[in-house]
Amino acid sequence: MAAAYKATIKKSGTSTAFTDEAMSVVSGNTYKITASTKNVWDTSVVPTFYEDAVEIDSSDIASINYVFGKVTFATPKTGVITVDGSYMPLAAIAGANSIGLNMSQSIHNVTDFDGADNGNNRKICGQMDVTLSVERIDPLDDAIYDVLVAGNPIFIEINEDRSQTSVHRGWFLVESANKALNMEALINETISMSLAGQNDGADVKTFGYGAP
Amino acid sequence: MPAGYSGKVQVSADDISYSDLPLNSPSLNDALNMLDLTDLSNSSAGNKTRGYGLRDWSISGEGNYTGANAAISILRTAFNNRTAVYVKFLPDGSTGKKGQVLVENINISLPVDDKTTFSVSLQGTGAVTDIS
Repeated sequence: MAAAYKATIKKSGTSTAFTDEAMSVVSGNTYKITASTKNVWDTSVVPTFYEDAVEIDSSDIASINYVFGKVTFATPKTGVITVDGSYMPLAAIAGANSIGLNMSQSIHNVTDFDGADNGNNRKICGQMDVTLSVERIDPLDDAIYDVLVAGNPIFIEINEDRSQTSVHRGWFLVESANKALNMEALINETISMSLAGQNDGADVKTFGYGAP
Repeated sequence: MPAGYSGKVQVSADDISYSDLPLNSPSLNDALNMLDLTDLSNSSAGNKTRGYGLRDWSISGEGNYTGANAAISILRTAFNNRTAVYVKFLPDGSTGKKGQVLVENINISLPVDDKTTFSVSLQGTGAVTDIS
């Protein structure tokens, strides 16, 4: 059980290109970029992977996890793996003091006569959705308001205890950034966001959870 | 009559190894759909006639959140993979009900001046069996 004051919440900055970055094995055919500051990949830039400086064909790539900078190859590799791509640098959201992360998925009833199973309902999972609310002491930097106006997705990382073992990451759209002015208190901003989209087939592009 | 602190809610991915879910106020809702069978042939006395339809059940609760907790990890994995998990609802810690559930919702709250908490909503799918 973690005291919430240990949590951190960060947002993305400007996409930055990188070349010849080292990758290290996670397990089996899965590798991750070694530089932890570059493990959030820009989903608009398809990474290029190399084994001993020879480009690996896209047909040999089973899946790419853009959210945690990982790749899974279809076949085992024995050489040195490197990657070219573009990453999203992360920086703390100034003044944040409360986070609410809601993950949900629709549940569909698929009960039919054949599967009525002695009178019990049968269900399957449908679409997943994630919403995020952040409250912060407004530093008057308009950092979130500018994102709202621009209308582009923003990448958010929530690390519940700074351990880097339990991290939520995803692309979100800012729905609202409301400010409250109380002459006897601080200026507060309440930000609400929604998931920007779903993952793309085997690739993890939008939302993920785990150890970076 | 057991006290509430005796209870457990346990989850498992394989129905073999179970882990305790760190809930502090779980609830089980087990319901049978009521079918209104009233018609002119059976309503002369002015009473409703009903029959049982499909059974539906769910579990919800709140608790202290730690990402490393084994039971929470099982639910997170099931949520990400859209798969069902096994759950045991044991009011006295050893007897109760068991079945498969889908993870409908996980909500995590992190206020800077308090502990990290979560709430979870699980929808039953298929049969519920008694554990005695």
